[in-house]
Amino acid sequence: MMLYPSIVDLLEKAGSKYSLVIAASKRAREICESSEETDEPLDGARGITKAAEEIADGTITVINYEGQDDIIKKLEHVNTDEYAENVMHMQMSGLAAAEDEELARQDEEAEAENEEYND
Amino acid sequence: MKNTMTNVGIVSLGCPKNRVDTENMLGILGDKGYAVVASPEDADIIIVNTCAFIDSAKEESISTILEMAEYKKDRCKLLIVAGCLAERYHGEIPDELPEVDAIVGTGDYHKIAEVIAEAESGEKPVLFGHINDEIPEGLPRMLSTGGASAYLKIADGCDNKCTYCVIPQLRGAYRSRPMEEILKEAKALAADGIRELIVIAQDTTRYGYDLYGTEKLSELLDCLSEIEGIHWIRVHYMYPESITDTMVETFARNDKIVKYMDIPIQHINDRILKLMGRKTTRKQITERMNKLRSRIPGLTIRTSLIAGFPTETEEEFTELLEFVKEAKLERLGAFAYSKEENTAAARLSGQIDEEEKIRRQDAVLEAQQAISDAMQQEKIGKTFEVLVEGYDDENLMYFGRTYADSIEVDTTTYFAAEDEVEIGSFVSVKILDADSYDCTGVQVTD
Repeated sequence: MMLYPSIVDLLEKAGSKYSLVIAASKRAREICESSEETDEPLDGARGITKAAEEIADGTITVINYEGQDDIIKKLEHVNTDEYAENVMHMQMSGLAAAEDEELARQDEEAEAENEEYND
Repeated sequence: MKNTMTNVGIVSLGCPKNRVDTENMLGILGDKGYAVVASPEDADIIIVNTCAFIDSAKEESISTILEMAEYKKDRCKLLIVAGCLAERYHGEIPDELPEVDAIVGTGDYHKIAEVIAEAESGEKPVLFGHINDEIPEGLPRMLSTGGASAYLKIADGCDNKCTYCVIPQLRGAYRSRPMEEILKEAKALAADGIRELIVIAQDTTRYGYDLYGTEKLSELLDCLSEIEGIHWIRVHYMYPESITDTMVETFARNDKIVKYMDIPIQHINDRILKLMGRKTTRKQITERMNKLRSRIPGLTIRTSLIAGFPTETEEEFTELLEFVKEAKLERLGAFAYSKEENTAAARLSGQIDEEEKIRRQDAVLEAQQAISDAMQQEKIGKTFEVLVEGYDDENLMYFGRTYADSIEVDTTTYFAAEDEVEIGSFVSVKILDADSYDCTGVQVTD
């Protein structure tokens, strides 16, 4: 597993895991293709390492398409139709039942502890 | 037929189910006389078949759409967005991405030719809301998986209502395809040289209950194995609680069904499983896995986990991590929980912050990496049947996959051979070396 550069550094530079993966693979492809003309062609794995190093040390800057971040934010909110609402209600019912079950289990545990204490 | 727009390019994102829809769209357009091109700069029409399952998938979809929109400055005249992002955000895309000329939801991909015709005439068609329609049958298909493998979609939609998941809202209710249609398609694939069928659906274990009132996956797999030319049948997307004894026996006795089961379990702690809406427990999962292992020697199990689900405590995460280390599953993927609007889990208080979710995901992946590395080393010296997928000019070796490797997600086996080897054939390979991701070996003949 590649420990350097650290994933934290890389994420800071790239902004997101997705952007990092896309940028690193694009740059790795460029590196491998240009290395084919030299005496030391690089394979994919070493290309990725080199690309990651370039991103970490600032040789390469990762930028998203203009407006991409705004679009992603705006698409966080979505209108739903009746079917989607029904699906969510069923999920909510399932969740409520699970939470009730958990509360009941905690009550039983607390009761059992009290009984033990009183004994 | 059509005017001067003759070349179509498509980018297919997301899961194998979406991929099959892509292949159908390509088949339809190919039949209409469009030429499918590999480079976007050569395309008059670009289709992006998108995914919107989780945040990172949405980011990828949007980034891809913006990237493809750049080609409208040159040859590309039409940009079409299809798939799950289109279905989910059909109302928003026209305003936020005005470069898009048509929107095709997940239930409308078979109308792609009509959509293009409408867009060519200056309209901006937006098709959505047909996610519960009957699955169209008999569609032409242009395979994109290469080699001798093809996906076989046996159902669409999902009724499981896991609390974190938007798929039912994107793909509709569970609908099995009639068995005769699946078999017809599989026979046609075999006649075209396909040797490996990869059976997929949102939930393959539920196949048949809606149409036939009973589990039908076992019978379907047996029927598929009788098709001449099919050598391997692989099954993905199985739910542990729905794996019946009949299914176990079918896997055990039928040699054509590869001993590989993809069983995404998502978590192991009972409280978290309940909150996720998963209909299983730790006890059932472990008992089921133990039974599978004892009944099917050499079984490879693949699973998928979610780390950082809302309210997951440190102890519950530790339980998950310990399970990963103890279970020693052959293949394991882990995701950080993605809070998706309009899901029940998104409304839970106790959401875990992003950095912590990623830390937990990384811890799971690191634990699994050690297990996978050790398992890779154990392959050295063993001989496996390998489906030959291609020849690597750089390494001067053939490559392919063993029964324990599915396409695009698992390891590759590279091997040297004395004589020419046919792509799509099955050969025996003795493994001589292995690293984290690949194996290297040599063909052996009897």
